Amino acid sequence: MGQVFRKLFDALSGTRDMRVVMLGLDAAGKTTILYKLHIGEVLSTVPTIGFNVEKVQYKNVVFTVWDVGGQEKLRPLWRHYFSNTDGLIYVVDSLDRERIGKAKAEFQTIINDPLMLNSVILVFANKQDMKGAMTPAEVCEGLGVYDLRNRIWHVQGTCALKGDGLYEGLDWLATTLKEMRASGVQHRLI
Amino acid sequence: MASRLKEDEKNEKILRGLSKLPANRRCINCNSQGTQYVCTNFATFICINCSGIHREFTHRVKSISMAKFTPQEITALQEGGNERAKGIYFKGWDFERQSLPDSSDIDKLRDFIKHVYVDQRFAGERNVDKPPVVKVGKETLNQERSQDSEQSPKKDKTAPVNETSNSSFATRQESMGSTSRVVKDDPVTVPPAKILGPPKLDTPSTPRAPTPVAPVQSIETSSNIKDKSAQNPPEVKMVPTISLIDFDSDPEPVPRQQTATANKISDVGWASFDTQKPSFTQDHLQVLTI
Repeated sequence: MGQVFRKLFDALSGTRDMRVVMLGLDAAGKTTILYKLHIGEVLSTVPTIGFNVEKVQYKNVVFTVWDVGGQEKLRPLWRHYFSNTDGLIYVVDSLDRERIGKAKAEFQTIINDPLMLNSVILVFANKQDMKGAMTPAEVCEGLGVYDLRNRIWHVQGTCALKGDGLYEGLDWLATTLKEMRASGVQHRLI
Repeated sequence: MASRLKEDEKNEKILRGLSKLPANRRCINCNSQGTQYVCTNFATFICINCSGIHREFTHRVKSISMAKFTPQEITALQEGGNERAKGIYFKGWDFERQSLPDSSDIDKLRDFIKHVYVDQRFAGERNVDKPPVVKVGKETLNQERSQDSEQSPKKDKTAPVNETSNSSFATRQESMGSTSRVVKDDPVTVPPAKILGPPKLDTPSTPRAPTPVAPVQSIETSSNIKDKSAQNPPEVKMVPTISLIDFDSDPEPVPRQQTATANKISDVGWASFDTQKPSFTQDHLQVLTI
């Protein structure tokens, strides 16, 4: 019942919900990004076992962001977070050229999952403050984003420590979501 | 598949065994019990807090339970481990008199880890000629990074005031998202004279905009610059050790010279970046609508 009122209220006030899952290899910066968005601070994080989830409001969209641990043996669990997901944030450590191939393989597995076919894709090319980091374009190339067909995607260079690029990414998500819903693109409702 | 699984199991078993060795049972950095992580850069067994801090310095950490290990990593850990690492990175550390930082104080721990592995302050015995140069490439980077980041003040104030800052400026670039440099783990020294092509860079002021596709030709060159300059700090860093003991420090002039060269080279890179202006705009990276 409360849910119904909540939805009604949200509809009237114009706020929208968006469920986002944030994935990527370990040490890409997912948890740092989550808390930078949520409380605006850089926390000292430890490798995530399991997940973190926080709500982040940006403009009139409330993002529920799921940040799931990225170590090898946790990756098979990612798919359990796929259902009812509007957007994927895929975080890449732009400094880690060694593992960009692995990042690509995991990325392709995610986006080709039947449950993820409708979700929009935001790639954060993180750690752009580091010398030697791949440019967002190189990250695109590395992930094979250019070859995607019939997908909505955006690649954003970010620096989680400074917060650079994070809100630009959310802005893109919010705008894209709005457009999609306005144009009646088939979409999962929360 | 099955054999892969089997191998993982075997590896985990080996690692569990290693982590039960007396020296590996406690975190090498903070002496806390329970080492669920390893740092593959130094082949050390560490606790979860220290694993988080090592990550900040771009060191690679892996959970014994949640990561998969290559045979090489396993071998490295078998040959390495805390006992061995103590002989390298803690050579100048007196375990009898000096106590390791408490794991509860993250800031202290961060400083300590920086001193031990990034600056390698204790890597040489007090009157040893040179500290061993072990995989300095990434650490150096991180040091620069930390100066940019919010967490930097804590680190900076304890950093030795000497050429360190100079050398990091040599490799430093002003902005994020603007380079296409390659970082390699093993720095290869290449005479600067051979560096010809300008590293291509794009506008320093646009971190958020997707930056252009970088043609890959000049990456090699820029990496040389990087490696060259990344190699300097460890030598430079020993200055405080030396001055304490009052040994004459002949390595000093050399790094300084190298630093200057590296600096000059990256200047060339900067100067020429205008001509390399890429014709790639944000729209190219943009939405392909259904």
